[in-house]
Amino acid sequence: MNILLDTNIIFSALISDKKERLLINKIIRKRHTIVITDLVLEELNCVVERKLPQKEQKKAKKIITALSISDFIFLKRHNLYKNNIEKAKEYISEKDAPILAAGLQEEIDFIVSGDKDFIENKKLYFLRKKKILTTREIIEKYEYL
Amino acid sequence: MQTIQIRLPKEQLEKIDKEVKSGLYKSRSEAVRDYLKRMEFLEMFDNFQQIIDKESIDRENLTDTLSSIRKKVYKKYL
Repeated sequence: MNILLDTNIIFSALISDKKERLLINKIIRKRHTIVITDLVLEELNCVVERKLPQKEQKKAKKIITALSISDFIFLKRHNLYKNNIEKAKEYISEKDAPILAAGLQEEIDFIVSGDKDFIENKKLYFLRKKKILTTREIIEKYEYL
Repeated sequence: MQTIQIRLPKEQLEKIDKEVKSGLYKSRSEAVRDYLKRMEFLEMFDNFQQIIDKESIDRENLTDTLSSIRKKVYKKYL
């Protein structure tokens, strides 16, 4: 399975060992693929630049890069999802459209996000609990993960 | 690559052999290499967390910053 993780999920897994880390563990152990987009990568690097002291930034960015090129993460770049952007904009605000556009692609089985704009969005109800899930939902609902 | 000899408990070896037999791996060596790669991958998350802990960075503050970043960078991905 291909599981697209929104930035908030991968970021939570990086900064704490709570349920998001458990999810990453499960995905990796069961040989599913984590999918992230280039927007996610930029957001992670931006947080590092803004919030980490200079001396730690290099180390943190190296980890983010290593993750993004690892065998277990597929990095979906803009050219691979740009055709879905207009469609995504019909359902979600412009700022979240790149993530939804990537997630709407057929090969993506689940989009995992903690963002209210995905989770509580009425226009996306037809995808809620089927394709768009919170971390807790995907862990609980899909025990086979 | 270097060749080494390792000792494993019977149960672990059986697990590896089962995965080789199922076609998931071509050999025991490939299976062990893959396990190690997965472990290394997961370790990267621990390493990142260690940086946050070492610098005593407020996680809530980090999360708030993250939420504000998308608005500033998303346009080039449209």
